[in-house]
Amino acid sequence: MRESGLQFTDLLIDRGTWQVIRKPIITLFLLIHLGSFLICLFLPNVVAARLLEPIQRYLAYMSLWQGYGVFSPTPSIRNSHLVAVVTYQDGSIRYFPLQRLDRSSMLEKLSQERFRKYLEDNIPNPACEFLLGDLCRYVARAVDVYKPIKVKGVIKENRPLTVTLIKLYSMIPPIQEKKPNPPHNEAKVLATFAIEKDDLQ
Amino acid sequence: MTIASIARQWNLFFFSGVSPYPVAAFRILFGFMIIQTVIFLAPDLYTWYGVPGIVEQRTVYFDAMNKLNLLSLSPDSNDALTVIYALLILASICFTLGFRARLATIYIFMVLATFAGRDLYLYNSGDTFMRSMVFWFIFADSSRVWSIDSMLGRRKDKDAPSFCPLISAWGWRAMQLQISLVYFSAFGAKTSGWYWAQGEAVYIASRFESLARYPLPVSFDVDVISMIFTWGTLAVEFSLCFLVWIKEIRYYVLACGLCLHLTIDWVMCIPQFEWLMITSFILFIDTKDILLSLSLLKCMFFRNRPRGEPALE
Repeated sequence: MRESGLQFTDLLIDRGTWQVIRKPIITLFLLIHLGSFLICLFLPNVVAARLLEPIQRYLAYMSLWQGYGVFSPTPSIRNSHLVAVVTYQDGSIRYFPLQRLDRSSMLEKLSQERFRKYLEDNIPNPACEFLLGDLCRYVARAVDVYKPIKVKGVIKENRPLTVTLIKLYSMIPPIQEKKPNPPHNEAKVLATFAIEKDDLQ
Repeated sequence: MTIASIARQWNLFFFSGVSPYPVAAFRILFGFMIIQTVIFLAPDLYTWYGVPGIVEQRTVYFDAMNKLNLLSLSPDSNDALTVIYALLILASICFTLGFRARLATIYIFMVLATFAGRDLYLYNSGDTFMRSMVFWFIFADSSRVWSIDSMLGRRKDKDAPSFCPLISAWGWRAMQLQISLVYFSAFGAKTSGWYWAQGEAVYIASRFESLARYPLPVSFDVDVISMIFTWGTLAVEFSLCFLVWIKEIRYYVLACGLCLHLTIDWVMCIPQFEWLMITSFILFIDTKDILLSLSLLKCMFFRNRPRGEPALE
């Protein structure tokens, strides 16, 4: 191999010393990284979690956590989408549909995959309950269109008071039934949040 | 088997000199995937990573000090995000062209890690794979050929040999092992699933409305078809993890992997993941076959050129 030009390691150590220690150092580096990546794949597992303890802060810092369980251990048997119902100060109600990829074009699906992951996989997940408040505030800001205006010296406004997130879903029929997917005719209220004025900033 | 023989094999596997072409070819293809990702980020960049964003900073930054976070340069406005994104576009292009490739790779990794830390709830396996591969690209000598860096190097160093220098194998090997880890995870996680064991998983996956794309000529609603595709998926994922390392059958395994990913890409819209995996297969292809394919492509597209012209550098 021909080594020329400035190498990254030249900034840290002279080239002769590096040639002597490079193999043990790279070996250690590979063992730590590939080993920890492999152990990550066994999570959730008590032994795996214990083994990762010394390195978990590093993996978290570098966002190097691994996991490729596509459609596993079993694919979800529901089709779902989310809607938000917003109540305004005057009592009126607005229905706010969040992104629905089943009704998107192919091009939209490409760029909106992250919405699918967030709204369909993570938001309805009980482990991600702490995200619901943020989503309600996001919806409230999106529908906060009747901002304060002064009419004849009186400030008039009609701002969102509450946001309710509802998951509409249907079960995929068993393969034996040979039926098409039913419409999303079952509902589950995920959360209702009161909106403060600070939330609309 | 002795410790000395294991050490010898390890040394041969990770530290022998290898051709730079597979890694360079992967850099170019992977670079296009990064550019595509960056383009897809544009329409909703501020919704996902901005202030306040669909997930607020205070929700995810409870451990902000412990995460690589370029956005902390300007936490209360979107100015830093705008600059970081603009530089990410530039870095992605530089990476693909192989111009200051290592610097560009480090920057791309820092941004991908920052975005993942900012809102992890948007990410799928494709993003995790992309981030991991960019990490390994930092250590792989990917711009030794087919890059602006190599062109500039040759122009600067008149005494440089006309043949292509070898590179240390370990960066390339780490990427190959990362690919095997992906399939190990995909296969291993599925083996405990009821629907995978029953042969119904592909039928269910084909019924996801938000991922649906084009139908196949055969219907997954038929039990036997669903079983063949479900168990076939498991077999191919197992092969891509373990059997791909056996030289005699490697190309057959890769061909099966190609069929698997192209079928999924036809039936389901899982942006980028399938193509990321397909492009990564090039790391398992021999240099002579990459160069042969390239010269065949050149012959196809530049038929009128004189025969004497060298096809390869």
